[in-house]
Amino acid sequence: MDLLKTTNLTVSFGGLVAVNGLNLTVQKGQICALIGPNGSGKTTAINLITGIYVPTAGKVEFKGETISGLPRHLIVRKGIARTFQNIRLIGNQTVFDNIRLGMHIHTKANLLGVIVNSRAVREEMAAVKSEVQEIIDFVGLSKIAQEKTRNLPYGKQRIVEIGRALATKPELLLLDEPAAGLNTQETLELVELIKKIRDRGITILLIEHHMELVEGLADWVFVLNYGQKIAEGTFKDIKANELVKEAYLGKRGARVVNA
Amino acid sequence: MQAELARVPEADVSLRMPEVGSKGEWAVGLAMLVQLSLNGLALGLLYALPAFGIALIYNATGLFNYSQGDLLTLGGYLMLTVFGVWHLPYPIAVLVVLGATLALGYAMGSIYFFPMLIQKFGPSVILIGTVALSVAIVNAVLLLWGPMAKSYENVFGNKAFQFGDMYIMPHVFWIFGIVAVLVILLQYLFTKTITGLAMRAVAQNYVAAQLMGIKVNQIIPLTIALSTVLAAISGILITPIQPLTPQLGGLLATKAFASVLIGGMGSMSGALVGGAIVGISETLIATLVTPTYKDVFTFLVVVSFLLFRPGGIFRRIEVEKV
Amino acid sequence: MRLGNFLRKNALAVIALVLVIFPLTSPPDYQFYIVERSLQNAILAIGLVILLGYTGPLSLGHAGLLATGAYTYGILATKAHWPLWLAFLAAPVVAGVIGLALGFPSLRLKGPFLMVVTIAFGEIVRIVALNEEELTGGPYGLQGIPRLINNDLGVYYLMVAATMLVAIATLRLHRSRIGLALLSIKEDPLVTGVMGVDVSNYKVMAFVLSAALAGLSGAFFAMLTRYLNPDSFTILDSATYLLMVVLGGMDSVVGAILASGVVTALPEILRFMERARLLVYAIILLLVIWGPSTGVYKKLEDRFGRKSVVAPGVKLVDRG
Ligand SMILES: Nc1ncnc2c1ncn2[C@@H]1O[C@H](COP(=O)(O)OP(=O)(O)OP(=O)(O)O)[C@@H](O)[C@H]1O
Ligand SMILES: [Mg+2]
Repeated sequence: MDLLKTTNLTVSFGGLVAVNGLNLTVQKGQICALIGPNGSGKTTAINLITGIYVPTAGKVEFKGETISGLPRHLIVRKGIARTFQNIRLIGNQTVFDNIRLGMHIHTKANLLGVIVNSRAVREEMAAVKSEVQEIIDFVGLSKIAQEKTRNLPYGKQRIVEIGRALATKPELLLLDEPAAGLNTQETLELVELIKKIRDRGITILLIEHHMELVEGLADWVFVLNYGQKIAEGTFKDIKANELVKEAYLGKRGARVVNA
Repeated sequence: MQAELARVPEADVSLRMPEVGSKGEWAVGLAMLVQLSLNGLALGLLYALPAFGIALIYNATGLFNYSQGDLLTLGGYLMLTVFGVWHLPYPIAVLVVLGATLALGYAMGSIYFFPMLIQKFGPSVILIGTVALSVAIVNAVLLLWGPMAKSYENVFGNKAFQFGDMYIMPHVFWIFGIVAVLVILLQYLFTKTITGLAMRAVAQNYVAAQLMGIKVNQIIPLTIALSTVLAAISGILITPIQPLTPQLGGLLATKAFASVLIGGMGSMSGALVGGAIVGISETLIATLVTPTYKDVFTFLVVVSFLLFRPGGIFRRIEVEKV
Repeated sequence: MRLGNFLRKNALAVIALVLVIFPLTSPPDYQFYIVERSLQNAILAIGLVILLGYTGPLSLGHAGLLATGAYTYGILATKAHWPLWLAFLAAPVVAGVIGLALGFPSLRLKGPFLMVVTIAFGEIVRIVALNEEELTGGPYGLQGIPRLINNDLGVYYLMVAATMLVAIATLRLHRSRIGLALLSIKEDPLVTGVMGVDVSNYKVMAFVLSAALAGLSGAFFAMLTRYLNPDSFTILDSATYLLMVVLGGMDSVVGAILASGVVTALPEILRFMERARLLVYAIILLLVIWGPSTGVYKKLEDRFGRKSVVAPGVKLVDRG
């Protein structure tokens, strides 16, 4: 089944068409990668899918239902979660609370219940606590659960973002350059984590510049250049594709590499 | 605390003085509309001066100075003493007042704003401080000059010019002229002088300006001094339109804020247009709708404006980059 | 040190205990009045903690909401002859509804823009109260307001109970999913939205809650002074409430209660200065705020090893 499908997805900022007629289809259970040179529109594509930008044309369908145009807080309820290229954690909150924020859509306590501290609210809080703890264990942050996230090293912050996204219990997880800024050890751990997440049945769309990482993980790769999709296929197909080489290296560079 | 002002409905009586009145409520002719608009424009320009000061400070420091309106009042009262009581010649009195407010503004900038700014306090803290400053000024004025509304001789003359059915007071033209000259001077300051360029650099990017070797610790107090002087000029010019009361500044500050928000924080022309909109709509509402609630209506105009055009007339709303 | 820890952990209970015992020491009238006013102010300050401290928007119009609550109670009680308890309940409800209206601009306007709307709102309330003499008594004031419980101690204990309930409810809010959503909105509304929080709803909710608490505080104000005059609801009062929140540490309920005690006592202590009172008061406020930039607090902090009195202040106004 097509889990995610974008049709002719387009957005422009002033004169700049950042994403131009993009058609993507993501199959359930896969890890897909979205690659392309800097400024080619990868992040913008994710922003369109998650409702941060409104497309100027085209649409996004998720499980056969059109979701483009929905406000962002409803899109996540449909089962799409994401991380950010420039980490955006709530810095004054602990790791625990950042992940608890991800649970928001799965909790119901309303103002009245909270104020009278009703039994339902107390039970829900206990349940949330153990679920958050479970996620913290799953992503391996138990030791620093009570640290404020702004005090954490970069690599840990990236993991907290993934944990927070997982807490929304997504079917589709969008990761925007999760390995950026990580050292080798951290990158290896990240790869393992991403596989573990896939094994939980969560589909992943991944933006990444590290080609080894893409090669090791991705079942299917989309290549963007100047906002347009120039190729898709398995990593092997993509590696051999002339257009892709040109996009990354320029015409000249492509010729050199081929020679 | 600022009750006096609203309780004095005749506060803007001179605005409406030479009006037709006898011709019946709705026989308000084009002439009167033009006349009211010109009066409103004059008033609006007097909002525009402190408004521009507010924008200057905001751009340079990211702070709002709530006491801007009271600095205006203070300028007016100083003029009352220097010109109205000591009887110094008008131009000299003006120079004395401008000199005094310049010094006061610089002192405020270097003692209060700049140290707070480099301490990285949240704007909310500094804002509360400027409200306290405003209250201090109002009460100092109350102690020094008393609570009664005061005015002094209108040097621009009290005889209205007549153009057909229109009667325009001379101070209206004087205000137009003086503001025009000020705009030219400010333009010169900001494009041709080192100090002005430095102020603009600080307004663009405080940190970068500092790195470029601009003496931020002087430029920021200077910016505040300049905006204080602009407010004082407004205070000097406002007496023919409104008598001075200690609480005058409160409402004026709100209207100056409103002007700068409507016009956008960017430019002198923004402040002028914003001030004109506020001044004209206030004057028209006072005469044509209700004088009691002119401020309420004016605020409603401003609020709806902000709602439909957040960011002001001239500003394009940008999409946040994620 | 043990004691310090104990006090910090059970601050609210300790405060409640002190407040319950206080009248038994038969304090002089003016002391009693200061504590009563502190309680009434604390309720509003806690409301501002929810708005400014948790959620972020800065309001300089809360004196207007206080006035709304006070006049609602006063007018319903004296002119409309409603049952007093109904008038009492109406105060937070009416203020809350106005808070709802005030909350909507907060969705579109940021920092300074929103602030001006709140200032304008406060001014509008004051102008209306001044001019609608039929209802409000205008500048002459609204007199002879009856109290819900016609006895000083009764009103006092009612206020102690109300303050404690509000404080506990707010602390519960703070640790709940709603509180977490509000705190996250303050830091990063975009991300909070992406995490599934309906940011607009929650922002408006924060406005309504803090407005309703201002209204409740207003009803108590009317009962304490038994006389309402528009002069009690100026922007200085709004700023003073903000100051209580800031001094209390921005997002601390207990801090807000303590700070409201200090800030309320100050102008009353200064009464002997008569006409210079507000001037001196304003100058003291200025010094309190300005102090940290001179390093005074830093020295105090080094000496006593406690957290700074003034919160570092969170960036509220976006630099445009
Ligand atoms: N909100 C915005 N306003 C204006 N231009 C934007 C906005 N968001 C993105 N762009 C522009 O759209 C283009 C695509 O940006 P995008 O961030 O999607 O690239 P990317 O493929 O993610 O690049 P990178 O690999 O560097 O992250 C860029 O030219 C960028 O400047
Ligand atoms: Mg990107």
